Amino acid sequence: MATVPNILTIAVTAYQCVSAAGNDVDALLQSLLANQSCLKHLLLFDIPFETVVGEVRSSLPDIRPSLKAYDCRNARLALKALGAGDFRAAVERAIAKHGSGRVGLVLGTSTSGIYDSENAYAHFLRDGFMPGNFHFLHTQTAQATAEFLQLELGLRGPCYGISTACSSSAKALGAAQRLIASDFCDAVLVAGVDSLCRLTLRGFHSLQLVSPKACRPMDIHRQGISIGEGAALLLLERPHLDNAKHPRLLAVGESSDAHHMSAPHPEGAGMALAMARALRLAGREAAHVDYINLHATASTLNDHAEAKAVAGLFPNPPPCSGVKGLLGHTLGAAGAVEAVISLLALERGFLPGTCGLRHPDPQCPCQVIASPRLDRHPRLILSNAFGFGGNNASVLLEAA
Amino acid sequence: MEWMSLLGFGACVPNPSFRSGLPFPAFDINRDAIPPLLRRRTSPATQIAFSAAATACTHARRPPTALPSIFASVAGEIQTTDLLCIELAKPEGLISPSAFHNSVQNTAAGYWSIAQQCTQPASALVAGRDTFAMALLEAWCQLACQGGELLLVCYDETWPEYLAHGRGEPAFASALVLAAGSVEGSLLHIGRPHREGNAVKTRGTLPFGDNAVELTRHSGMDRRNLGYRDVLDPRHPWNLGSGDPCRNDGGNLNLTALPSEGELDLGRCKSEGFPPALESLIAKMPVLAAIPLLHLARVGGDGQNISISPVASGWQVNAQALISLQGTP
Repeated sequence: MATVPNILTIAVTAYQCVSAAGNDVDALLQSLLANQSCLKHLLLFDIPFETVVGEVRSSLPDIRPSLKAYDCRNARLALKALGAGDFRAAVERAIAKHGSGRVGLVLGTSTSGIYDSENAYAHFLRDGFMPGNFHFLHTQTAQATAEFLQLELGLRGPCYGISTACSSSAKALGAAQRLIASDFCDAVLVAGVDSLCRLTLRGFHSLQLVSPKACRPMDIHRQGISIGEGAALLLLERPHLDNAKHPRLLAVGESSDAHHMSAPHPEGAGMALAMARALRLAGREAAHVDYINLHATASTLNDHAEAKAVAGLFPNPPPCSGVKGLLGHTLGAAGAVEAVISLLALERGFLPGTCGLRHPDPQCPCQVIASPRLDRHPRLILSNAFGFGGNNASVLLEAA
Repeated sequence: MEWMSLLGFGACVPNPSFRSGLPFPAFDINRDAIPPLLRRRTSPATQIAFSAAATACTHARRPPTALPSIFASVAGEIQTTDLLCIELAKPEGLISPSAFHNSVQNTAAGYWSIAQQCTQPASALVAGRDTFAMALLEAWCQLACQGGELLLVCYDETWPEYLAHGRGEPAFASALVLAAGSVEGSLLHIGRPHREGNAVKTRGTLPFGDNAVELTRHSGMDRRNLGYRDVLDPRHPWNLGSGDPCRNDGGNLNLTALPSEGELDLGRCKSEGFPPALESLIAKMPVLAAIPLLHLARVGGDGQNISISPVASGWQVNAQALISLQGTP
């Protein structure tokens, strides 16, 4: 039996995304419908093993001179997403409507500007000091891209970063919802931004988790994960008659596995708890969910645990799929990127497929769809993001 | 929600000189707060966070297993990240899988949830100079939206000196157990975080603005006044040396930005921000912004606005001290 929601529903009035699929949500939509992998060999730097990545290969915009201290790949990806479509105009409209002090910013990132720090460290090892253009607190620390966006846009509301590995930007959506519900803000820009870097590629490789070929989530022949990068921006606003036509963020369910730093609970207990909390916060039942965007990294442990979590929570699981074979795992950005994908599914009326899935793993007891479904028009979507530390978040989104 | 309530707090400060000058109880790293298997695997950042968190939970008489947590830090696992970056810059550098998963910002939050068998949400928040203020704000929002109680830990280990000259010390962790609403018998009632009206004027300057650096640069350390034990006393010769277990570069760094006698009085720390001496310390190590609130929780006093961020950001809370704390947490 559904209960009364105990958190304020929020309107998502604009969203954009830069990813390996292209420079805006239209390119992302085309890619989702075509279901052709965007994973390619890495151009940005050399790595000592075989893999493919979801790289943003198009040129990135320059950071304005007054904010040069923030210049790093992460900030440039964020700036590119800000310039996509009419997103910037939407934020400016929100500032005009609510006042800059009432517009907050919450960033989810795991890498922040570490790619640029890696280049600075090469200088450090060679010369004994960091280069003059290295600004630790403006590029590397995990609030840096948040501050950059805040200054770029002239926002004056609360501004911070959430960095919980691969659940970062899903949790940022939850923090933003609470900022509006608690009346600190009328609008919050949520940013999920992560950039390719040696640390994550070689780090995941050291854990023997990186696939040499494009990843194949939920497939019996999976060989590991593929890493990607991206920037997804979502403008959240207090619900109002004039934004009633926009899709809504109902809730973000959060939990901890309390199990292991880098491996999920084998039965998916924490994952199930996050999904259940999202439903409970929103006053919805499992049976109402039309589609689940799985975290589905294509690591064996994740896929098995997540499928068990879904099967345990949903007596009749809805169609599920995962998009990381298309874009790679964008790590800290994944929660926001996949919230954007879920919003596209709600607004354009389709279910994404699972690029790379050919032979479903029989140990994954949920209905994973391989190809996009254009005959379905979902109204209620759960989107999962799970990270190191057993840090789980599940985002519940609803059509207008 | 009109108030949140402080049920208990803890502070971990590895540097003995800095610790002894604080106006509230603080302790060194507490090995008993860290499960044996984790002691060798975890960084100073995680160890000071655990130590403060354990003290706060004991003080509040709350089992950690039931509490959602917010772990807030400017630089997170910066020592582990630094070592990885050095390896990545070498042609034959080796990346350790455990160092990699221990480099994420939510390492302390993750290990805490595992050690306490706590399945409640755990977050890792980062906000530069406003890290403590935004963490209190996030705590307020969680309690206002979902009620109950939570654990807030705000911590930073020392940063390698070459990453941010003159910044990133001393290592400091504070932990607060907070409850929604006005709880009888709590240490403080803390009001809604708010901003001093004119603070927004200064927005647009870079965080950790150059003024703070200038303050540091032009104030020398006065080694003559060795008798002053209170680090908040303007005459205290605060000195961090290589004996600090949280330093990894072995260097001696004498940092002080303590202004002339008599300027520091936490009782007058109101809308104008932190006292100058503390403001310059916080410019070096932003998580020290918790000090005035912990001080009030310790000594009590009339309700007042307490600064929780540097004046350039202007975040404050009204805090009502209900009882003066007897004994140490």
